[in-house]
Amino acid sequence: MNRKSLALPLIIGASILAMIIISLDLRLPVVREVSGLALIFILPGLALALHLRSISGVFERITFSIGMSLVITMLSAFVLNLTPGGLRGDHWAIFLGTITLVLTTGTLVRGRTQPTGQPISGKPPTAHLRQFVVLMLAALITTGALSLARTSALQQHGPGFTQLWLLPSGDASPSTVRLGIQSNEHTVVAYRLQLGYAEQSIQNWPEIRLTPGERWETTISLPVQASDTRLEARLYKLHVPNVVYRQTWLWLK
Amino acid sequence: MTKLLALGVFKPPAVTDAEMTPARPAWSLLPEISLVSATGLFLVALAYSDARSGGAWGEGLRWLGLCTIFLPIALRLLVTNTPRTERIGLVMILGFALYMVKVMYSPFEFRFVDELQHWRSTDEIVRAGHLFQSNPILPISSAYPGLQNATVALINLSGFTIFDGGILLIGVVRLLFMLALFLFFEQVSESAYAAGLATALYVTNPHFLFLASYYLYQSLAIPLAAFVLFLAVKARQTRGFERILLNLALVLSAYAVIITHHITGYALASLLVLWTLVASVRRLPDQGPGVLTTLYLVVLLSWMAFVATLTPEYLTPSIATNLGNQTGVVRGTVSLGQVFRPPVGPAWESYISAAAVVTTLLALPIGLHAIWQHHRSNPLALTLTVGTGGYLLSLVVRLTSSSGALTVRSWTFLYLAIGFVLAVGIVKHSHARHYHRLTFAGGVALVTLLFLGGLAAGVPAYYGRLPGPYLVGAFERSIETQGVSAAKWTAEVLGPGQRFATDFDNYHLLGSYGRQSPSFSLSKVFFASSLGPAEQREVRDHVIDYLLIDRRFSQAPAMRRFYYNPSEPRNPTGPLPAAAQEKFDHVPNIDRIFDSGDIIIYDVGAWSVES
Repeated sequence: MNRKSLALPLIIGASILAMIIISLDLRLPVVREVSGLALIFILPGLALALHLRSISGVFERITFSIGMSLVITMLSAFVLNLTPGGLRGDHWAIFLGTITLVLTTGTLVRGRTQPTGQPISGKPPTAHLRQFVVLMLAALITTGALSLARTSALQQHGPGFTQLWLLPSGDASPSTVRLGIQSNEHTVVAYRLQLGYAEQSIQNWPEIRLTPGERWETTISLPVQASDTRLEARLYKLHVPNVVYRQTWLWLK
Repeated sequence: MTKLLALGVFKPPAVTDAEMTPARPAWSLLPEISLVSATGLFLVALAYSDARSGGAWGEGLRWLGLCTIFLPIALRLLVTNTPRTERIGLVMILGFALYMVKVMYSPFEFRFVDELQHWRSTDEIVRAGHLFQSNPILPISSAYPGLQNATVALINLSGFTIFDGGILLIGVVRLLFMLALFLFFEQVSESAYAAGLATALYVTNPHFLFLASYYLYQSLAIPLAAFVLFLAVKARQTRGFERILLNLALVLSAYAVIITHHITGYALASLLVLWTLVASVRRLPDQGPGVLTTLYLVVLLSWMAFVATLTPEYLTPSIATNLGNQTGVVRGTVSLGQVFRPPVGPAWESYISAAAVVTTLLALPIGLHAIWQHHRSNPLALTLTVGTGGYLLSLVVRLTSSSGALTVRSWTFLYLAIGFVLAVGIVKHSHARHYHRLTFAGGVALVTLLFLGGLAAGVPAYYGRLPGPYLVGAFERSIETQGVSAAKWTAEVLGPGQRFATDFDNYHLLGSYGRQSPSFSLSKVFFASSLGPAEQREVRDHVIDYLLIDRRFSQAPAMRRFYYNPSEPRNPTGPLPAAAQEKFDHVPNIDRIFDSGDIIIYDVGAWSVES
């Protein structure tokens, strides 16, 4: 069977499927991703390649399909940018899908009056079983390499740290402040937090226990104070009670 | 090795590829060599793992792994009767494996500062849903949205994150590049043997391993330019409707290059102009792509005039500095010692890089002679030959530069010519009945030296080649969790668009993940031992709201010899004085609003305007 006669219905079917899945926002995880990839990297270029007799070799066709699909995608962004909705999944799907269908329609129309393009020239190279096994082994080792790299990157623990912040609350009230702690330590840590002026304590939190990644925040209304005073927040680790671990302050005017 | 050699090296080769009849299946040794390359990739993964855990074997494993990836492929490409299909498979494996080296370095997030710039551009477009959004850390990128166009399509259509979409995009483009390059070289040289070698030689350029794999506009533009060249040659072989269609594809693809990267657009323009001129001067039957060149130049200049108006302002400073240095040296007002800065890194790497340059210069005449003998009626072959003159010019520029960055960047284009000329030289002498053993040995030595020299001269710098713990002033080795977290905190709590003054690395973090408008131009304020009216004025003039200090700068010197920006006074001998960093704690009305241990954020808005 002519390989080209299979390509056209496949391209048309894939384009329509991609347009439906993406524009209707259907939740089909792998299928949706593959459809999107096909629209961006394969379908438009392949549809155009079918018009071209000179792009007949396997590798030439792959190169042309990927290259032109990418070019069409990149330039389509300028058209979509002009639409009110802009760059959105459904717009992309409809636009790229329509381009693909127009190109394949052109192939069908030209096919009625003259031969359009040739089947891909040459027999595909065949691999013996041993070569196939070796290739699979290579793929396995490559996967292992990527997996090792990802695992070592995940396990690379820099030193843990804690963030402390003190800010004006941002609303109209000048006597309200925001206080926050974020733990990026590697274990559960217990803290003690003090808020006050140099000579006066406003509030103490004797124990705040945070797990890695946990955040604590609060908003405090301040009592009336003298101007040009520095409001300080001091954070201590409970097991090191005399060492200021983190410190922030605001100058109150 | 014995098997590789027995396959064809010591047999008298056929005169042309057309006369060669491969005696084995199309895939031949491709599976076995793929296995060896995969093993090389695994060695690199081991190197990274060892480096991340503080081991001492990483550097050696990395070199071993990279050589294991490259050399067997190069050797097989040097063999004369390797089937065409296998050659194509080998160059694709080579491109893919070397790309994976970069992916494994940072498998979860972008770590290279240039990538963070483009992350911001893409993020702005995703949020706005429209193009041409402002990017304060790379303003020029909004005028060259090609990379973002493709990435946003991936994000919108397939639901990827910016990182995942970017990695996938550059990976696919890498495969496209290897194919387009091979097919282009094959068309010009009429030899799959030369095409494979030229492609492998191109890969030895210092920026192929990492810079060409970054999520950057150049990483997309150069492969597209190779695709344009493939189409340009193809179009000239067709007639009628076929030719019209291919020319249309060619024009669209050339336009895609123009809207993606400025320098690549100019490089492609230069090649097209040169091609047309060479064909015209030589009065060859094929008069070159005159019409395409004219159309391309019109579109290129129009894009610059109406859309990318910032381009001259962006490119002029570095060009002007280099021109100034060269003029000064020629006039004698500046000595070579004043302008030339030797590369930073182990001495043996400098020697091997220099050896690679010298070897290239010695081998080029052989290739040039071969092209004159066999391809002088081919205008594109002659064009690439003329292009090697750019390589000589780039070496002059290197001697008068404080860094090799401009020179090595130009090699990402010039190696198209270098690779082609050297490959043709090897092919011609491999056909010589009495010299093919010597040619094979010479070819092995050449590709090995060029590959090692390219690795030594390329990015990252020696301190950044392996991932690992934080280093002060070390680009990718300074991008780590605490800085990323602080940047994200600013976006969430302070809101985007605040003006920050900070160092070079946190500038990129704040400008990307933080969505802020940072500056690294206030080094005087950070270096000052105390804060006075001059520093206050500096902060006010730059409209700075916040300062971000990294206290680690007073623990170790900057690996790259600057903390804030390249023009600050160099202090390679020691870390920043702690007093310079702590001075902000002692000034009334400077709020210390954020403390994560090493990173402190000060609100200087009120202080900067007080009298």
